Amino acid sequence: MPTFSTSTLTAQSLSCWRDERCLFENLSFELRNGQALQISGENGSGKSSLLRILAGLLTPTEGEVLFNESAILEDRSSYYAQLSYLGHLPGIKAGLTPIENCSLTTQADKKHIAAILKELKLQEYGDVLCQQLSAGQQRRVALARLLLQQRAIWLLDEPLTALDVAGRELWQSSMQQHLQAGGMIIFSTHQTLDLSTIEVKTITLLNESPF
Amino acid sequence: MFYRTLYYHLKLILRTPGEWLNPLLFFVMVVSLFPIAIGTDKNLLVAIAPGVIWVAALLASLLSLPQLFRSDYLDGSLEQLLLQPTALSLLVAAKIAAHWFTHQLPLIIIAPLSALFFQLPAHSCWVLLLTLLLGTPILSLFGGIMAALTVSLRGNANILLPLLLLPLLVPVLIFATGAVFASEQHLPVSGELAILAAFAVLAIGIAPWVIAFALRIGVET
Repeated sequence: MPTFSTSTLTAQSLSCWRDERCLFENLSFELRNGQALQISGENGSGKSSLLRILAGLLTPTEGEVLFNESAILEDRSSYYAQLSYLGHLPGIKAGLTPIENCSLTTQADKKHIAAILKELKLQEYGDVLCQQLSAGQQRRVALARLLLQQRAIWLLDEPLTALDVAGRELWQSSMQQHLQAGGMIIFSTHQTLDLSTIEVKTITLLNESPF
Repeated sequence: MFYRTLYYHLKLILRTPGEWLNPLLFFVMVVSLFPIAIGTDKNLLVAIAPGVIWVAALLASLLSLPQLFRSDYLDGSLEQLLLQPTALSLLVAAKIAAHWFTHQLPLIIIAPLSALFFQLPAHSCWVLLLTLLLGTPILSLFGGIMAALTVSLRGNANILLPLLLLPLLVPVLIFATGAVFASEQHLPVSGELAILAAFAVLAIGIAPWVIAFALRIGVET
C-alpha cells in the first residue's frame, strides 16, 4: 500500500437544483487524509448527484469543490491524478477480460494486476470476458481497478450493491487499509458498512416535500 | 495512454465482427448493386462512379457513428474515460483513430475492387483512393463531434446525428467526387485534393477538443 501526500478536499457551500427541485443547499465540508465520509439519505435525495459533483462530472448550481485549495474544474488533471470514482455503473467493458479492463485504465504492470486479482479471488477469471462474469464479480473487477489506480481519494456510489458476504468483507478491508494508508473515502450506501476502528462522519440528505 | 486506449479499443471492436463488418457489407452491397441495376453503358457507369462510391462510403459511416460513444456511456466507462488525468482530447483522438482503423480502412481497401464494377480507369482509381484517404478521417472526426453531442439522447440519436452531420459533410462530398470526376476528364485534381487535405487538417486540429468538451456536457444529464 502506498502512502499519500497531505491533501484536503473541500466542498464550499454547494447547491444542486434539478428540474426546479432543490436537492441540497449550502452544503460545506472538509476532508483530510485518513478520513471517511458517508453520505446517507433516501432514494432520490441527491447522493449520486453530490458524488458526481465531487468528481467534477456535474457542475453544481452554486458553490465549488476545492482540492488543495484550487477549484477542481479549473485544474482537472492534477485532481484526477489523485481521484478514483466508482458510480452506479461499474465502467467495465463487457468485451474485455478483467486483466484487459485493468490495464485499460491503470498504469499497473501485468504482475501487479495478477497479484490484485488473486487477492480478490478473481485469478481464475483473468482471461474470461467480463460479459460472462456475474454482477458481483464485475464489482470485484471494479475494486481491482480502484486498488491498482492507487489514487488518494475514493468516491464510491453504493459500492456494496450485488455483493455477497465475502465480497462485502473484501470491500470493507480494502477501504480500511486505504484509510490507514492516508487515503480519503466518500461513499454512499444503504447497507451497514463496518469500518471498525475508523470514525466515519455522516452527511444525511433529506427528501423535503415540494410544498 | 494514447496507445493504451487505442490498443484496447481496437481489440474490443475487432472482437465483435458484427460491429465493423456491418458497414463494410453495406458499402459492398450498394456499390455492387448499382452497376447491375444500371446496365452495361460504360460512359454512364464511369460518370456515376465517384458519386455512388462516395455516397455509399458516407452512408456506411452513418451506420456506425451513433454507436461511437454510446456503449461507453451505457456501461459507465465513458465516466472513467473522463476522469483520467491524461488530456481528454488525446484519449478521444485514440477512440476516433480506433474507429477509423476498423470502420473506414477496410472500406478504403475494398474500394479499388468496387471501382472495377464501374470500369473506372486506373488513374481515376488512384485519385478515388486518395480522396477516400483524406476524406474518411473527416467523416470519423466530424461524426465524432455529433456522436458526442447526442450521446445522452436515448433512441433519438440515430435520427438526429445524420441531420446534424450531413450539412457539414456536403463540402467534402463535393470536392471528393469533383476530384475523381476531373481525373476522368484528364483534368488536374491537385486543387480539389488540396482543399480536402485542408479540411482534414482542420478536422484533426479542432475535432478532438470539441468532442472532449461535448462529452463533458453530455454526461451532466
